[in-house]
Amino acid sequence: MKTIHKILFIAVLAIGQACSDNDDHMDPSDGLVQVATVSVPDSEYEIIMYLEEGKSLEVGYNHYYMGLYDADGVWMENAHLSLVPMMTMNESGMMHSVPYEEHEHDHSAHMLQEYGTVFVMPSTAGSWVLNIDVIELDSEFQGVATLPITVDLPEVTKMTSIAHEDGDLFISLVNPEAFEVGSNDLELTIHQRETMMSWPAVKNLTVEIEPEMPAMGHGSPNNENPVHDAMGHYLGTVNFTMTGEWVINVTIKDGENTVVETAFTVNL
Amino acid sequence: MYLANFKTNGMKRTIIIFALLAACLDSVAQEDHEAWLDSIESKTYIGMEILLDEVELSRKRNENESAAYGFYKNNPLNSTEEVLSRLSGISMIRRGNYAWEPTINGLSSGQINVSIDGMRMFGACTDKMDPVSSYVEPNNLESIVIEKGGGGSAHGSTVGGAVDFKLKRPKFNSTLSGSLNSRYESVSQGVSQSAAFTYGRDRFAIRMNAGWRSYQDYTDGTGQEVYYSGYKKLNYSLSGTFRTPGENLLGFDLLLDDARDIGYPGLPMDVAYAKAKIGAVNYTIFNPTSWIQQIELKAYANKVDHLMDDSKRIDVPVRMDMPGRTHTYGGFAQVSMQRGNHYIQTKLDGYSTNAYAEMTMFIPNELDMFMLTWPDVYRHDIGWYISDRWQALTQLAATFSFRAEHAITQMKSEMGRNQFTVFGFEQADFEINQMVLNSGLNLKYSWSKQWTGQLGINYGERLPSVSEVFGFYLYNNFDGFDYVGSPDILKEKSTQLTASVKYQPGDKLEFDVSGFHYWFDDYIIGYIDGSLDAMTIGAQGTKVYTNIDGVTFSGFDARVLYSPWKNLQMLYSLKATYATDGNGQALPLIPPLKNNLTLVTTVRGIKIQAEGEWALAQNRVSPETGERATAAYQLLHLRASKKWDLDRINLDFSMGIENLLDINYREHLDWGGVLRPGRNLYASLKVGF
Repeated sequence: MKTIHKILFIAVLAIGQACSDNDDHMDPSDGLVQVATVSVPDSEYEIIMYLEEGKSLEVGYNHYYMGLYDADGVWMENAHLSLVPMMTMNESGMMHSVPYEEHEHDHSAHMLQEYGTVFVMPSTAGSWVLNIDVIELDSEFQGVATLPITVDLPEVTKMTSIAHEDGDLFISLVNPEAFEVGSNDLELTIHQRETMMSWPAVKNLTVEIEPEMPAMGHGSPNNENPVHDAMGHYLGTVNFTMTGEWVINVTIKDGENTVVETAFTVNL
Repeated sequence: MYLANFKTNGMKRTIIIFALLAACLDSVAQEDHEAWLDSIESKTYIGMEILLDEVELSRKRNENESAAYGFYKNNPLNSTEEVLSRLSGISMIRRGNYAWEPTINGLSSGQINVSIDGMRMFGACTDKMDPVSSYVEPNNLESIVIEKGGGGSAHGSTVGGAVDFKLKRPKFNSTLSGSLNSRYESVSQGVSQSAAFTYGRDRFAIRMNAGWRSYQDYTDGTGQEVYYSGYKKLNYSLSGTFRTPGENLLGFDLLLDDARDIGYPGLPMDVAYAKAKIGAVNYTIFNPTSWIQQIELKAYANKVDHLMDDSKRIDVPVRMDMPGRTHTYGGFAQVSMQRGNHYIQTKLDGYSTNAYAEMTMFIPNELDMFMLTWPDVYRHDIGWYISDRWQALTQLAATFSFRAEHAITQMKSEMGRNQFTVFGFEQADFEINQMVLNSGLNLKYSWSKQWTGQLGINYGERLPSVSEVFGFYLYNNFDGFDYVGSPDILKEKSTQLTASVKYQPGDKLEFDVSGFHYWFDDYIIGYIDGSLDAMTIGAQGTKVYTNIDGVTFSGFDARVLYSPWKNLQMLYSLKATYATDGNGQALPLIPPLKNNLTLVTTVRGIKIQAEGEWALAQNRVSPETGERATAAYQLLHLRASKKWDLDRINLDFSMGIENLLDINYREHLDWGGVLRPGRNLYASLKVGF
């Protein structure tokens, strides 16, 4: 079934691709919502950050898009934006980064560049910025920009951090808002804080999940434990048999040793 | 089961006729067929007296209208409930004092078809608390036709048989007449009232009926009140028949049934309401050609709304609401014809039904928990049936019957489909095409006037029920498990052998005995799946419907009717069923051996009836389902009635004591270990005009 879905998905992508090839003027930000913008110093360029509709930047794993635009609002498809998120904490003034990932920008795909970031605290604890290096290949422009952003605390926690002797582990549930009754793809990210600036993905752990409905004392059948896919992302399947409040119990093991036991609440 | 529960109506008792039509010409396909006709002899069956009498003569009058036929006609003291549960092969599953579910030879729910005047209708309760029989009033019924086995039925594909409730038709050319009935019973302080009126002219006739009942909690044989066993119910019906200039009949029926606050002591929930609306139009053409006797066309629609809740229960872990509904639309065309020695019946029928049920659990300050238990399931079904009863010789009649049916079953709800992806099913699994076939050959041979024998071999298939295919965590309080349907379940198949012998040396004695043996393939049963958590608090686990081979059912029943002198009649009946799976384990809900003796006599115009009922213990239980054994019991009932024919009205008074010795008992098919009512004194009065 999964394979079929994959094939279908690729087919759909291919069709979408074919269509977009015929339309050079298609706005790559279609269906996305603009959340932050900043002018690039010493240029006429502007950087715009987009989120999927209905989303805001929240503590936990965030998937977002950015694009470089000229003064006429034309998207620079041959631009490359690489970024480092930075937090300056309120009282101490201490600065640190967070786990972030930049997806390879496929210029031919006519799509905005995609990013992933695990924000570990909300803007109430300090100020968040994205430090962005800009390269525009056509005009051979290079520059830097700083984009201030606001990170909210979500209603239901979707990231948890656990103390670990080699550096704290940060475990995030990707897009739990999309969960519905039935069988769901489950995606977790695991990162480790080596230093304040280095938060690499952890790829070699074993993850076990067990969903549970605490009010009723039952679980759900046929869940599949997430296994590592890429960049610290672990993919599995989680099943929910009814609406209500569910808890996904997560056990993370290194070989046979349990490293962490944690849980995420999910409201359906 | 409502009919079975009926103890109210004097009229019913005065007019019930037991017609033992063991090889009824009417039911060409069945090895056994019994009908309760309340007035074959009054020639009012549909209203066209001469014409219909001819039909009746050819179809229903036969040599079996013997002493047994007259027994209940002359001794109409039984309530319908007792009559039904005493019929050969019939037992009732009881979850409360209301809506008992009939079983035929140990087979129930999806394995048998229950219809009203040939209309398909489906209960809206996922826990089977509302069998179709609960939505009809006994005093709307002209007869109950029971067919056993799966040899091909006009009423739908089946492995177990069919129960068809025939509605009363109004009479032409009758003045305004009616009856008022009242009944009281002590054990539940139950009161019921009903009124019926009929009026007929030359071209049209109309009949109305309204009934009301209110029963409180009853008291069992230990003197304890059985909580949550009361109920209230209103029922209305209106039927009309028009005679067209071409002497054909156009008729309609409307039935409304509205039951409220129905307690189910055998379940953790009660029913806030159970409502049914039934409408039908039919057109009957008589003798369009010399060899076609009748063509009947019918279109119908019905709707059932049912709400289960636990708002009256004191001690529940979570509050739950479980509404359910079904809508069914259908129609059929049926032709009866006779050519030479062949009596042929054929029927084309179809229906479309939709079942939807959901469950919401409420915990204060928490998110509501919601699931679809019948996720908007549609079934479109079309069937064709034909039977030929061939009087090959004077002594030998052979009946061949065949039915083919095709059904498409679909789950329409997206949430429901998502729910089932949890078990690894894919979108393509939610539309199921199934073809089922039934056929049978039955031979009846009369050696002499006294001796008659019958032999039948039948093959039956049935469609899985909505719950068996797409039911999602349906809690069954009988065994304490949640049940999950299987979209890939196969149709159930059965090969059946039946035989019976009847000896009737004269009017005074009649003896008949019949036996059956059924072999099943792909018998549908719920088996424990240890990998699935129960969703219901307190449930022991989850069972998934699966197909198993090797199930057999066998049994027999016997009946002796003896009238040593004119003023005394005795009827003795005995029935037993034995069912086992492929491993020799007992199947659940199989009644033990039961027998019954009834004596009737008349003293100075007062009819007196004494009855004894005995059931053996049922210790052969299904351990896997957690079924409990049931002790043996003996019961005694006493009844008396008297009629007065006055100038303008007639009165019919009856009273009796049921469970005279106040025995503390339960029947094996009763759920939840709930005891049956203790001693009950009842009285009823019917005023007819």
